[in-house]
Order: sequence, then structure tokens, then C-alpha cells
Amino acid sequence: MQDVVLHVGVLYPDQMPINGDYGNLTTVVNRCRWRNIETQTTDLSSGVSFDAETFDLMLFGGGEDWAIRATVAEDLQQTRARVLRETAIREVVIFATGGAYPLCGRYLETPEGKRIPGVGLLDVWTRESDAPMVGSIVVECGWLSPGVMTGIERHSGKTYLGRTATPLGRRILGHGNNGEDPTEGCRNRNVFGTNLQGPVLAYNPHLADYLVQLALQRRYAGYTLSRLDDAAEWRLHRQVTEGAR
Amino acid sequence: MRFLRLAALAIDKSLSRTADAFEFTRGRVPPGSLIASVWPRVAIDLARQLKRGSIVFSGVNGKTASGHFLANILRQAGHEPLHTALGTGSLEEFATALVDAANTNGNLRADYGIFGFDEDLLRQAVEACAPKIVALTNLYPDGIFFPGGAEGVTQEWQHVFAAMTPGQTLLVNADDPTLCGGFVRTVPPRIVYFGVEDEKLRIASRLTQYIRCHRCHTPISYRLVSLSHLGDYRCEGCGWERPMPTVYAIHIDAGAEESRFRIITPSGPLDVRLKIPGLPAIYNAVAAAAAAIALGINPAVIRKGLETAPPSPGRGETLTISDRQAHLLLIKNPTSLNESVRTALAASRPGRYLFLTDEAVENGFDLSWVWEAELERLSARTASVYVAGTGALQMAVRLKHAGVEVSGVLADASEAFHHAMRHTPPGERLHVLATDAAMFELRQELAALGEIG
Repeated sequence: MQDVVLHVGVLYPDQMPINGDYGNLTTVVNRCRWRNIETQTTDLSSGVSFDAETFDLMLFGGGEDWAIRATVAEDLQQTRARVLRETAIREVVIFATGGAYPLCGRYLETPEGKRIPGVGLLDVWTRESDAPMVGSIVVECGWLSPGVMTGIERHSGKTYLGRTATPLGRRILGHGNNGEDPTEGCRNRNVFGTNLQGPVLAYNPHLADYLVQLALQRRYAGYTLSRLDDAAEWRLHRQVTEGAR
Repeated sequence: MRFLRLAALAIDKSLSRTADAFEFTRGRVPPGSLIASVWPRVAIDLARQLKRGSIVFSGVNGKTASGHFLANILRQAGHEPLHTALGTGSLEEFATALVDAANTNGNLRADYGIFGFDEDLLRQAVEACAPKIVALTNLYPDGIFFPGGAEGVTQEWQHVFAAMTPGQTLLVNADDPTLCGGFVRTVPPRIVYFGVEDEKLRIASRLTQYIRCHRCHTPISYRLVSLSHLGDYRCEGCGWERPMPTVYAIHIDAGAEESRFRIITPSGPLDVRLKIPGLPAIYNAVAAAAAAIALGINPAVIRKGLETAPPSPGRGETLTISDRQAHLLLIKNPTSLNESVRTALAASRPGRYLFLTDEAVENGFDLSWVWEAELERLSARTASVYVAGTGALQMAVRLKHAGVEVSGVLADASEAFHHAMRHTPPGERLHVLATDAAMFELRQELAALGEIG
């Protein structure tokens, strides 16, 4: 039997170790391990270089702290914007959550009106607001099966989609991108951005598997994941979605 | 003006008593709430009445427990300290403690004030009570919600230190590079470092790889890590290294039920046997000892104060109910969860655990932070694990990923506690790891049942 290896890169793990972001990595590693798929994880702190072919899946998490995000945004622009765009073109799966989502967009606008450029992987822009958007969120996603994802959002930035942007889904509970239109998140080919923070993959095993399967397709065409016992996860999922009704 | 302030004090105390009597607020609107929000000057005036002054503890973890130790030391020395024992770290609790201790004429009997403040309130704290001592416990990055993270906190604190006078003392945990790196050596107050030194204290901690030098941003190199990101460290980039502490613990024997260690002080060594287990309790004891030394307390009294101090509510408290022990451990961030688990794992036998988690957000519950804790250490080392409270299902998923088998998921925290206690064999111990709201509810119930005095 072929040895299957998933190469995972974690962007700025040292700058943004909050919001349970480590939970997404734990979930990917465990769900692979439970299926005898090996994972090789690389921390991509500031100063660590990589090329566009190295990884199958990149995780990029983080909080809402403007000071920290400004530092990360600057480093992205100076050292990583080009390689990340090239990575996206090669259909590597990039999953950006919480505070990292706006950094993948066109720009973030601070309360003072200053624009911090993003890396432009997604056609979105974000404006900081004085309205905290915190709580449970439920999103309908036609491309997932079952077609609902749940989680926690904790942001005050309002994100708006550009003309070419496709939302991840339609919010049926919570605030989503901006609390004004019904959209949540954004997807551009294999780049995914969402306000659902931290352990969103732990709480949505179908989403985790979707991303892992997509990531493995690059090296192992036609590879399909075996089924796992996700009873605990679906019980949690039901608690949140039933609360939304 | 004095009449108005006394009237405000009387109204505040009456409101609190009424709320308590009718259980409107389940004890969550204590005396001082009105004063803190409407007339903070009254609290400040009360604080200035403290004859021997104030001591402020700040940092992410340990400020309440360190203050608790110091309060007991000062009592042993014949003083009447006033302490913010609830551990909210808020200005409201500061006002509460003062209003509660004042009579209706606005007079205080206490001579010392010992106040714990969250790290974002240190500036207001120092302005409010002009403390003799400011003790800084730690800056665990996973528990900071200040803009800019730990670096943002230390930048803000520079303003506080700049306003302090040479007559004031700053106690600093030498083992915390995030905390110590934020200092400029020439700040006016006297700086005293405290810490822990023992070669046996070597743990693997994921957090250390993310700690950078404040001066040159090179990753910090550790010779040993004792707890979270605390330890013996140096920056290979600029040569900056851990300052030498003058009050520190050595020869540490951290057991499952108590700890023994020696504290080296400028006044001589103290051999201490602490009834509260865990390395965080040792750090808290050393911080309290350093503060007591700075206040000129006799070393023998310091030792007695530490050894006779009961645990703070919910922080290592042990209750015996029907020949079974309930070991209450407050969890509020990944570091406190990690250390609670480490303390429980000090026992030789696989432990029994109950996780009570209750962290509400709009339309749901958020336990995201438990994913940053290293619960994998519990794998294959548990006899039973129950989860309960509104965050129970999130906790169950986290434990599944940690390789920990969950014995039962119960919605009701009270029912779960009694169920888990019934399933604990006589003579054995149940570790109850609870978030703040869940711990408060459980202690209220146990107090109503007469299990807590």
C-alpha cells in the first residue's frame, strides 16, 4: 500500500497562538493519523522561507489584535506575498481563520482610516468597526455534505466581498462577514477564508475531511478518505444547529 | 462633600445587602459596585486610609493566590490586611473590598490593603492606591487579551513604572522573559526579582518556541523550562539573560497533595511545607515571601504564614465529602489548565476527573482556548473522566483528540458533580477542573449544603 504523506505549513504560529487555532492543526494531524496518513508539519514563523511546492495544506489562524496583525501584515508583504500567491495558483489548500482571513484579502482598514494591505488571495476587504461580533455561528454551505458548518466568531472587522468573490456560505445564525449581508467567509479556488475561529475543523469533521481530501489530491489523484466515528463531533454540531432554530 | 460620600457608601452597602437577601444577583453585585461605577473617588479615599499602605499584585495568573498568602503572613504578624479574595482582578472588586470593610462613618479598620488587578488595570491601580509594592507575577501569552499582546502590556506598564518613585518597590518574576524583557533597568522604583531554581524542574512546553527577546526579537533560548514559558533563559542575539533573583525557591519536592521547598531570602533561608500542591502555588508563595521581606516581616512569621494558609476558594481547595475528596481547581486559560493537570498527575495512580466548563457567548458557548492546552498528557492516565456544563460537548471533542476516554457527558454541573463523587471509591480523590462561572455555582451549592464553611 502506498505511504500517504500530507505536508502541512502553519503560518505565523508564534504571532497568533490564540483563539484555539492550534485545534485546527490538531484536528488535521489526528484525522490523518487515525487513517494511517502521515503528516509533516512545519511552523512558518517570520523569517522561515518556503517555496510554493512545499506544502499541500497551509493553516493560517489568529486573533483580532490590530497591533499583532499589522506586524504580520508587514511581514507578509515584505517576504511572503509573492510565494503565497504562487502557492494559491498551484492549488495548494490555504485555510485562513479569524484574524488571518482579512490578511488574505485586499486590505484592512483601521479605525483611523489607515489601510493595511493584504496579500490579495481573496477579493474581499475589511473595515474595523466598533461593533463586536461574538458568538455562535451557523452557515449553510452548498459545497459541503452535510451542508452546514458551525463554530464561534469573534471579530469586529466587517468584511465585504468584491465582484469576483464567492462566499463560503449563507449565515443562518450569527453575524458572518459583516452582519449586513447574509454572507460568511470567502472561497477562491483552494483558498478559504472564514470568521469561524480556532477549532472550527474540530467541530466540523466534514469540513476538515473536505480540506484534507482536496489537499491530498495534488499528490495522490483519486485518493479517498476512509470513514471515521465522529459521533462526539456530530453531537456537538447538533447542539449548535438546533440552538439556531 | 463628605456627607455625600458617606451617603453613597451607605446606599451602596444597602443595595448589596438587598440584592443578596433576595438573591437577585446570586452574589455577583457585591458592595462597591455602585461606588466603583459612579463615584470611584470614594474607593480611592478609603484606600488612602490604610495606615500601612497597599500592595498590588498584577499579572495573568497568581495575583489572587499570592495576595492570599501575603494576607495570611500579615495576619500572623498581627496586622489586619484587607484582601481582594474573589480574584476578579477588577476595579469593582477593589471598591468592594474597601466598601465592605468600611463602617457607615467611612472608617476602615484594616491597616494593609492587598489588591489583585488584571494587567490592563495596573495604571489605574497604581494611581488609585499609590502602593508600597507592585508585584508582577507573570505574563502568560495565552491569557492576555490586551492590544498588542504581552508586548502591548509591557509598553503600557512603562508609563506606570515611570510614574513610580524610588520609595516604591517593584517585585518581578525573574523566570518570565516576557515580563523581565519589558523593563528598562533605570526605572525609579527599587526592583527585586524573585523566582524558582531547581534543575529537576524540566518540562517540555510548546509555548517557549514562540517567546522572543523584547530587545532584539531573537527567539529566546532556554536552559530549562519550569512552567509554561517560565524558566532559565538567555537571548543568543543580544546576550540579555534572566536576572538573578534575590528571593527564590530551591530543593523543590512537589507532591500530589503538598509541596516542600526552601526559599532563599536576604534574611536567611526558609524551609516551607505548603499544604497546596503544584508549582504555581510555589511561585505564588515565593512572590508573597518577597513582598513580606520587602515589608520587613520576620522570616519565621513568613514561614508560618505560608504554611498555615488555606487555599484560595476554588484554587487547590480540597473538600472531604462522605470519605471522598473533591479537589477543586479553577481553570481560566491554557496555562492554568496545563498546571492543574500536571498537579493532578503528580499522584501515582490514574486520576478521576470532572471538567465543568461554562463559558457563555451570544447564542452559545466558547471553549476555544482549551485547544491550546496540552491535555494529551492525560491520555492513558485516567481512571474516569466526566464532562459537564454548557461547554461539555466541546470539552468531550477536545478530550477525544487528546486520546482521553470520556466516561460520561452530563448537561447539569451539579448532577455531574454528585454522580462523579458517587463513582469515586471511598478514600480516593476527584479532581474537579472548573471554569470561573461553573466553579462559582458549584461552591455556592456546596456552601448551601454545608460542605464549605
